[in-house]
Amino acid sequence: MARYAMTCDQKLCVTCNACVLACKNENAVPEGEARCWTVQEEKGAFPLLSIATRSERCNHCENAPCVTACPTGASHYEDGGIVVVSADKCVGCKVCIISCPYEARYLHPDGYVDKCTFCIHRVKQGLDPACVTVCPTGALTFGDLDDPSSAVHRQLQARKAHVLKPDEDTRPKMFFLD
Amino acid sequence: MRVTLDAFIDRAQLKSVGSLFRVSPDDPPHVRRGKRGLSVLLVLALLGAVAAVTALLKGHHVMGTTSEVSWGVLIATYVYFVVSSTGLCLVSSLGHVFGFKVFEPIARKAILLALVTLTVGFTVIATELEAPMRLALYAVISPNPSAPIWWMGALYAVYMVLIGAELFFLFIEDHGKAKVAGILSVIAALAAHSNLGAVFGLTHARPFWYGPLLPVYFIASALMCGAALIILFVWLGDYFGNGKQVRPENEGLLNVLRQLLALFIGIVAFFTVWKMITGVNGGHYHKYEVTMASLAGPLFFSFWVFEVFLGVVAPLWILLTSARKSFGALALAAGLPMLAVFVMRYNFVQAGQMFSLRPVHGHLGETFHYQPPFKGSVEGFLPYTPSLVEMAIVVGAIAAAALLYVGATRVLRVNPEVRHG
Amino acid sequence: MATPLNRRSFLRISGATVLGGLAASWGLLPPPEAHGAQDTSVIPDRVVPTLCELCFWKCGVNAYVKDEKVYKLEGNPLHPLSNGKLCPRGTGGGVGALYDPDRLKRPLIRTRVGGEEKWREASWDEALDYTARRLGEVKDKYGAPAIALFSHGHGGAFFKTLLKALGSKSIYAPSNDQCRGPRETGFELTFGQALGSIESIDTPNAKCIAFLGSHLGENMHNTAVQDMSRANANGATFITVDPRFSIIASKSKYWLPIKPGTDIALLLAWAHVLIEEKLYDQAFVTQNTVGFEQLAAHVKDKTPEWAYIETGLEPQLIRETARELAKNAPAAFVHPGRHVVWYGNDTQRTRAIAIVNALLGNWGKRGGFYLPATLPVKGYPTPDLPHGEEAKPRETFPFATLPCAYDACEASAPKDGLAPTIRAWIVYGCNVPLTLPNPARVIEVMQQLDFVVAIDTMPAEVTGYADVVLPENTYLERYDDLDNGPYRVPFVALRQPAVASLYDSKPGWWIAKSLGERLGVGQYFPWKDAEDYLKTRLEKSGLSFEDLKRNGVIVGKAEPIYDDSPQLTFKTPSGKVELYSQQLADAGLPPLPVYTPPEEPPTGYFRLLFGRSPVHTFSRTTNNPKLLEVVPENELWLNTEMARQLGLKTGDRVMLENQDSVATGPIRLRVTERIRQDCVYMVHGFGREDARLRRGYRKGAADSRLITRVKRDPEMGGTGMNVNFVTLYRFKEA
Ligand SMILES: Nc1nc2c(c(=O)[nH]1)N[C@H]1C(S)=C(S)[C@@H](COP(=O)(O)OP(=O)(O)OC[C@H]3O[C@@H](n4cnc5c(=O)[nH]c(N)nc54)[C@H](O)[C@@H]3O)O[C@H]1N2
Ligand SMILES: Nc1nc2c(c(=O)[nH]1)N[C@H]1C(S)=C(S)[C@@H](COP(=O)(O)OP(=O)(O)OC[C@H]3O[C@@H](n4cnc5c(=O)[nH]c(N)nc54)[C@H](O)[C@@H]3O)O[C@H]1N2
Ligand code: SF4
Ligand code: SF4
Ligand code: SF4
Ligand code: SF4
Ligand code: SF4
Ligand SMILES: [Mo]
Repeated sequence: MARYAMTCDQKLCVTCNACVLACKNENAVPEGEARCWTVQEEKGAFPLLSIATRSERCNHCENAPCVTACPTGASHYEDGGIVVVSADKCVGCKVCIISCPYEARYLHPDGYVDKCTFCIHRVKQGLDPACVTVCPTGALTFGDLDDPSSAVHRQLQARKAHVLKPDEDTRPKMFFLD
Repeated sequence: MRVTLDAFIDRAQLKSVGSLFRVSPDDPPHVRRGKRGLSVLLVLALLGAVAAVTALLKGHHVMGTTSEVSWGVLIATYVYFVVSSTGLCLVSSLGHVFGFKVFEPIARKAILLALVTLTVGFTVIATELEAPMRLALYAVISPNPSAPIWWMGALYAVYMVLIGAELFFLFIEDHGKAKVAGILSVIAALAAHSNLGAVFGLTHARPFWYGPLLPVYFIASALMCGAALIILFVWLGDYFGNGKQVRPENEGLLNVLRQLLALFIGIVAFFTVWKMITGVNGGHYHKYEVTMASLAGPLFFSFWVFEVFLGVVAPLWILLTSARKSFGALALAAGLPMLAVFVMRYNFVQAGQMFSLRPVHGHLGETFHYQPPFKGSVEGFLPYTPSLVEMAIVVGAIAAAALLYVGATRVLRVNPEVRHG
Repeated sequence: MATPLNRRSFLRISGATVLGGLAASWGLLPPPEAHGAQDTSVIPDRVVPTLCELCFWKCGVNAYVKDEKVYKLEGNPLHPLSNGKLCPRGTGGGVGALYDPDRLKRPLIRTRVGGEEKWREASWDEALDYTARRLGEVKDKYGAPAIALFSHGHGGAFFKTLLKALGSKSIYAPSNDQCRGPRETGFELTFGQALGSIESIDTPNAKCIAFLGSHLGENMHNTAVQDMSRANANGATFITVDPRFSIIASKSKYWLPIKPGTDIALLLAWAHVLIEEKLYDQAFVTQNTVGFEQLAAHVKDKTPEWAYIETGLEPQLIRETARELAKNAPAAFVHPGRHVVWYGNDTQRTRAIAIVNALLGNWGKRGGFYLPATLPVKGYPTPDLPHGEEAKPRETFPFATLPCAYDACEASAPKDGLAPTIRAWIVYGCNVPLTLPNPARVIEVMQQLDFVVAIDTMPAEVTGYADVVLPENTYLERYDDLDNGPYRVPFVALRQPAVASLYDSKPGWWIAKSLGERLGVGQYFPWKDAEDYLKTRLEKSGLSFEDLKRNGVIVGKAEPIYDDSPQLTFKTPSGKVELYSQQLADAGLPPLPVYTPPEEPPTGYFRLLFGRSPVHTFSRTTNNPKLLEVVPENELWLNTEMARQLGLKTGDRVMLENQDSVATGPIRLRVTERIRQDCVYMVHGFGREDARLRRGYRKGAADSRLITRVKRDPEMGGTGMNVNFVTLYRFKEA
């Protein structure tokens, strides 16, 4: 069983938002909502400055509070540990939105909660997620953590990386290469 | 013994139920006022019903809630009602379960009101859900026992059945069975209610809610509401039903409740104080922001005026002074917290959400620049104002609860003596 | 908005009323829309490879079409400018531009009803007849050169043909004297060759790059950013010279927060260090350049210590960075820049850049400047175009590679009351009121012209001052001329329609052809239609139209793009790299770049700087529904300390007023450490003033309005625009 993960190389990402826009088209994300977003984390004072640039999305947590909290199992782990919402089981109680420490979810106008799916529909066809495909800087990489030959695996071996809010104990599978 | 419908319903009253709203010349003025009041409630309830249907049709499109602040005033209202229900069940159980004689006369009314508030509460949450139908279905065919909210639903369903049974046995005067059902519903009430607390208390993502004390706090505030509501309906019942005079047989009860209410308010105040102290000193970014919002921020007014003054200071003061002599004052002292608790619930639900979980400033002086742009203000504050539909549902729900109760007490044989005498 | 009667709503009613029971079975069915995006993918009816037009880089995009709707765009993996990837505008903006509800949908003719002006929708026949008649009148009365064309973008080619056919060479573009004109002149003077739209710099193989401005990552030219990122990933050393901590600065080993307008001082100091420390490529310099002695003498006293006074940059930092460049030469270069019209000394600055590059000996070298290749494509057989003339401009410049849009504007309504030499404008894909300096003046001029026709896709400001507005199809609905680089690999690429035209709009080629026929120059448009035109061109060149339609691009076989031979030839008068420029000397201009300090901002004023948002292209996207979601308005960057002194904070809305007391705004403030204290910064393209642009109308502010002053470049006439100063005050809600 694969353990899908994504990395965002903060050295390469320029926060151009191509990922955000490619995602919106690929997944028909409604106006005003987004499944991924970018952050410029600015540190320091003039002229000693640094910016951490990255593209964030659902972390497909291995210990996902949204899944734990969902009364109907609409939020669930798919093969490969991808966290997905089955719209047809979603009752719109929004407790998953409340439980997600990353504000990765939104309420879809059609009455169900939606979020990044790691483009599972593409992954099933052996394609990269839309955001990974479009990224002009090659900052995003998607793959199987458990496969030693996968790019994500090798990157995480070779480089220092961090996840968001580790103290939440959600065990994210979205890694940011420092 | 044979159980007939007459055990429950007073047919004569059923026919004349309309007279509740019909003002007749020989009514004393305060009764006329009361009846007009009921008619107003009726209108509000109907408006609420229209709003409820709209909400069920259009979901969040007619709500003020957003993807960031996704729980609004309806959640608060739901909590308000189920807390009341729980409180009524617990306090009234003192009588027919734990055998405190003074409480026995009001058992039927208390449980009846518990059932009414619970039903109204469920209706409100149904309007808040995007697809209540699916919940009914999938909570059963694909339940997720790891979800506090699932347990809350399940346990409240059980609780509903149990208080239903309890009420039934009380009507047929089967005090043995009533006691058993009573004990069970107390347990269910405690379980369901602490689970409601857990729905908030277990969300690690929301530091303001997270914590083991929350379920206990919920029970405490339930007891406060229970006591307050019983005072209110006993007093109102006598005010309109007994020429503004409290019936002698109720005086003892009200005196006990006066002391209990003071005690419960004290406990709730105690929790609130510590929540604020830990919030300010806990040094947790998110929790601190929110606490300060209550103490000195956007929630300033509703916190200090409603939660603190109207919810604690004023009622306690009245309870310890004029309420000793005047039942009218006692009723006021019971009414204020019921008003305050609603605001308290609202603030509580909002406080957990009003600051984005995406930081705007980091502890080490970082600033975070988001795109698409951050939906809240620059400081990370997320706005929410209830829509008209939401407000109409809230008002309608409260009106409906009152009407149902008054109507039911009129046509049902809620006073044991009615049958004997 | 969900309609009350979709299935979800039905579910809700039943859910509310009949709990449980039969209706429950409905609950089993997913809401109809839900799955589309969830875990099943849309199967496109067809995928059409074409060329993006969200900017002028022309990347290959694949348009995914379902039910005659373009629902997504991906980079064409075969196209060398995309490599399967796109910039945010290309991937999101295309769909947005196609389905923008505010698009121009029908030809419009301005008519005066009583006193007031009104738009009247017209048929194409009427609009074209009318336009042809009015242009004809101007031609007969004042001669063909009195008709001017302002053009930017792919479709412009056909209108250039039209103009030349009419006998006018009055052809202008804001992408010249408001953009890269000075750079092209600077490099022609030095290396005898301009760098072209796709700069011939071998970024991916460079080991060290110095960026002056050139804010790649915000400046989002797809391949330029891909290349930069590859260099970055390969561990190349970046040196960014910018008063603002740009994104590329944050990727750089060295950030030089230079005082605006002092880059020439830095460049001369770099040259000084390279020469004093003998770090320059002596072989290259001796064999391929002229004027080294004069240069050496010229920079002798331009020490880093001297430059420090001017630029505010630590001498040590200047030395280190010069050495860093030299260490990695020839796989190192100073980026030539693109939007270089800054201070009116821009040809000289790009000369200085060229000179430092010459010292690094990186011409024709891997990791330096490559020698671009072109895949030759034959033209469509047409009679030779007449040898037309250009309208006499107000001012002329000795080394202008192209006539200046700015002068054309002035020549159209001279302030000194002299007779205009230009009477009519054809504006294709240029929003001149926002892209030429000083909108107020441009508008004043447009109102004095005999006739203006604007060919656009949106009701942009420019259309508001035209007599006729002709709606062009968006790029996803039309054919265009071929694109064949030049680039590092020879290629030819095709733009073709992905879907039929949504409205009563037409492709540029058709509009130009139709006008040509009406103006009696139909013989220069002999082809039946675009397909015939393109097919013929390709087949004459031995290429298959079918292949091109299928793949969107044909890549020729790679040619050598490096030349390591010690002796190179250059198309300069001397045949060598001209460090010292005799041409300039003869024209009485500085033969070696001279540094003159920039004017200081008056107290209380900041220098106004501007640049790009990765998500927008000038004003062409600032009404784009998709792109505005991500970047809805521009912000004014102000240094934290300055904000503190002014008592302003992030999010405050402020008004801007420039040295000529022209005010605009409000604009939201972004208080940041990322900019010097002597300047403010904003993204160009916002502050739209045409109310027909419902989304972008009055979002943010326009830098253009504050650029009431320009400093002309004496060599080629570029309009230096970083010479304006603004003061700001809190906006008071009316
Ligand atoms: N997303 C996007 N990308 C684009 C475009 C677009 O519209 N949108 N337009 C394209 C076009 S046509 C062009 S010409 C280019 C323009 O893009 P560039 O060629 O990169 O334009 P510049 O003016 O060099 O870049 C602006 C930067 O220069 C800095 N700067 C200002 N004054 C000075 C100075 O005195 N010295 C130094 N060293 N730096 C200074 C500013 O702080 C800012 O960071 O972008 C291209 N790419
Ligand atoms: N103040 C200021 N001025 C500047 C700049 C700046 O940064 N600040 N940048 C300068 C630079 S670098 C450049 S290159 C120039 C660019 O100058 P322009 O080329 O004039 O820039 P745009 O704003 O892109 O104008 C594009 C116009 O074409 C229309 N359009 C878009 N797509 C199509 C199409 O397919 N067909 C047709 N017919 N029209 C279309 C758009 O609606 C818009 O009106 O501006 C220069 N001027
Ligand atoms: S597309 Fe790539 S570079 Fe651009 S924001 Fe997304 S991850 Fe960063
Ligand atoms: S990031 Fe949020 S939504 Fe995604 S899996 Fe974790 S908890 Fe769930
Ligand atoms: S909103 Fe939907 S997905 Fe989220 S918890 Fe409720 S049922 Fe599960
Ligand atoms: S993986 Fe797919 S769904 Fe998730 S952000 Fe990227 S494109 Fe969007
Ligand atoms: S750079 Fe971006 S906008 Fe310009 S052509 Fe390429 S994809 Fe389109
Ligand atoms: Mo440009």
